Amino acid sequence: MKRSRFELPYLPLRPSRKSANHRFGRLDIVLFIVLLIYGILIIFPFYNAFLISISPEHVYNETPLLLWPKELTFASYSSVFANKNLWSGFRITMILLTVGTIYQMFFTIITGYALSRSKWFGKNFLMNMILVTMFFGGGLIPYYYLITNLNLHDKIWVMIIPGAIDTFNMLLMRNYFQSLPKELEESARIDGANDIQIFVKVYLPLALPMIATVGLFFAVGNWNSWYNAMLFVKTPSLWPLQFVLRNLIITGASNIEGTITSPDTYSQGLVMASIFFTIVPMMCFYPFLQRFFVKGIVVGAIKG
Amino acid sequence: MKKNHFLTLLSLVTLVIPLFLSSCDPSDKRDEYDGDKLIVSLRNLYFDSYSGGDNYTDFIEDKFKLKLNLSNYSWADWTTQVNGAINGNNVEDVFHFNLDSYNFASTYEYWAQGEVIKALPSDLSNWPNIVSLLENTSNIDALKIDGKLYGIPIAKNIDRPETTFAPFTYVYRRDWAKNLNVYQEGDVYTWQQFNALLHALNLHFKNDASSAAIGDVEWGFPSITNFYKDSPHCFTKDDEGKVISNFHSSKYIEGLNKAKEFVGNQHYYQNQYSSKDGEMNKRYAAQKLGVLYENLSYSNYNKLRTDYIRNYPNVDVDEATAILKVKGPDGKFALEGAENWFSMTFFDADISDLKQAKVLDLINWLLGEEGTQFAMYGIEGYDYDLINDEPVLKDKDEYKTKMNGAKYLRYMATLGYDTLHYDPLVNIDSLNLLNNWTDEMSDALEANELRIFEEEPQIRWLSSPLKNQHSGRMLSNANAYVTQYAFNSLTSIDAYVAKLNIDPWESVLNEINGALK
Repeated sequence: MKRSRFELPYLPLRPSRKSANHRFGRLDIVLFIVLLIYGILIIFPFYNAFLISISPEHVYNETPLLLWPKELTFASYSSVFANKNLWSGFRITMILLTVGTIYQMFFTIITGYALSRSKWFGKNFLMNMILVTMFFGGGLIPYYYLITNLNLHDKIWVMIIPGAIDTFNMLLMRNYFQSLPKELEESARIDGANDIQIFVKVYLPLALPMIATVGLFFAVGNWNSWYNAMLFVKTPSLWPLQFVLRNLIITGASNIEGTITSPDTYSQGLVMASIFFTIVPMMCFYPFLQRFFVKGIVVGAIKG
Repeated sequence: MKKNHFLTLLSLVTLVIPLFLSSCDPSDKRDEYDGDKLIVSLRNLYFDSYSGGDNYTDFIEDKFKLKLNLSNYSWADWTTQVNGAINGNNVEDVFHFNLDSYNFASTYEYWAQGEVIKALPSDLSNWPNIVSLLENTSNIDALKIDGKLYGIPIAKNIDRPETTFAPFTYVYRRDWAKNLNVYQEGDVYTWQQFNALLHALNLHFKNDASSAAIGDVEWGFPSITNFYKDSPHCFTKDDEGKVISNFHSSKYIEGLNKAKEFVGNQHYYQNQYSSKDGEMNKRYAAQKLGVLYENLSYSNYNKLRTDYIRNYPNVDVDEATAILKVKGPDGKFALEGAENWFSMTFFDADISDLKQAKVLDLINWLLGEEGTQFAMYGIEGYDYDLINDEPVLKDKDEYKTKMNGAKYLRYMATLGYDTLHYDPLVNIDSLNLLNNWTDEMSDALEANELRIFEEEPQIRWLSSPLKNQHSGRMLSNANAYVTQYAFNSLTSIDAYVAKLNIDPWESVLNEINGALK
């Protein structure tokens, strides 16, 4: 078949034989070694933490920096699985992850969409008001008063309601909507669609890649959240997983006078087992979802 | 309903709900009742995950006609949680706070004068057990503002009010000392014998870089200076009664040079410089240290012994965790004074006199014989039986895992040391060893063989502008420079003093001396 003069030249999907022969040049070997070291530096703390979690206390005390398991015990994991606070924390975090993420997505998407539309009264003013919050916070005390006056203390909603819109994520959504052709809106309007139909039936399906990205951002944020719980939640059964873990790590890592702790506890093993308890779910999902992180940022950054 | 109408309605409802919620005002502090019971909110560090609602709190609630809303602070965020609640005007009726901050005097004064906290009634005669507790609390007058006391401080040891020193001291491997032929009878060592012990342990460990003769708990380094200094904090007094800097004093610098010598001779664990919380305890428990300086409270000491028993069943725990008694160059033991500065129970300024009185009734009862027995053993017939007038637990194993709300409530007024004699779970061996040490040190104090060093309460609890502004930072900076000098990051005493003088010691000292005149 004859190629048009405007067609792009053929791009091979695989590297050519020549490039394959040069796959491991000197520079590649250096890069490989550097990246290998970098990878080990990242993986080793996890590996060491895992070894501590399955080692008995005296092994850890004698060799804190374990390279391989010397003796095996799963006592720390037994303690973790018997810890009611961790399970209740897991339950609360799952609620935050689902309800919180849906709630945040709802507000972020509709705000991003509204601010991406071309003309409406007060748009720029509202946009600037939202943008200001990226750079300046109201401060802890006004925030505390706000939560107090909303009567949200010691309720699970205090970890959900205040986070309705994240400005950065909203900007990603807005930029993505702006990058979609305006002609889609015009043609839908000619077909008789109203504003909500245009949003729900035309733009929302096209924004699915960005929705996945922002959803992932919110989900990770909700999984890791603990600060609002620390400030406003007194009831231990309402603490999210990360806050339970934080308390466990800090009280377990030091000798704290006066706290009612069992002398039989091997604190470091318990801490490390708890860390694995909290990170394993995220570690299972993250490899499949991480491409959305990079993709989403790049796509959302097309327009400013 | 059409879809777009539904979405519009949903959006409106979602936006309007917070507006309704915002109209609620939870800061109203009028007395509220649940039936005939007055509702009281209490927040304490020692509740652990306990929030009431069992037989024990039911019993107390019925007895005192109170409805208890219990919640706890987390250790890591205690300060933030209390300050957040106070600044946001949302503090509980009764709460507990850490006085550990070096500069707490100004905060305490601010809370009292700013009507954040409520003073105790001037007449406490209705609560004799609380009166007794306060009388047995050292330096209680330092906590009074205009003659009023704004809370109940933790009583360290109300059973032994004569104990005016803290158990910050050494444990050591007596068995190793014996093997190295440097052991001294009764674990009492003179300064030279102590030096010889460290030297022998150092030789013993010379081929093992991960081990050392001595390690200090992270906040206690360098413990060697205890035998020289007159104050554990920033300020002390000279012979003429003038307030001077502890860290600049010639005595302190002599001790600091001794610490530097110990570090230089590798007596000290060489990574002491960067050790993490609890690391020295772990190293001692791993048989990597010959001597450990630590706060030998019952819980810490018992944990150390329990760790040894669990991990090294073949080691004689008494030999491995013997309490070392060292006499300094002046021939005296040296221990830090025990102030009641750890924590305090406060009352919100907005609570009624009635509510405060009822909470004081509760604390008073818990401090008495009946309340203590209830807190420690639970309910007669259910948790324990009285046999020969002594409470005997029905099931000790079950008791270990059982929450007893009264026990947590009792900790509002005491740290629990005073209940150790009653505690059915106490390890009597550990307790006896500590009590024997306390007795020995009390005898030494009477015989003028013990020097107690402490910052005088009138200095500690003085609130003045420059001291309030700078002294907390001065203390943390000075401790950092001490460590840097000991480990040779600051190579000369001039460099150490120059670093110290970056902070405004002179003006702060002038202000303190002026205020104390």
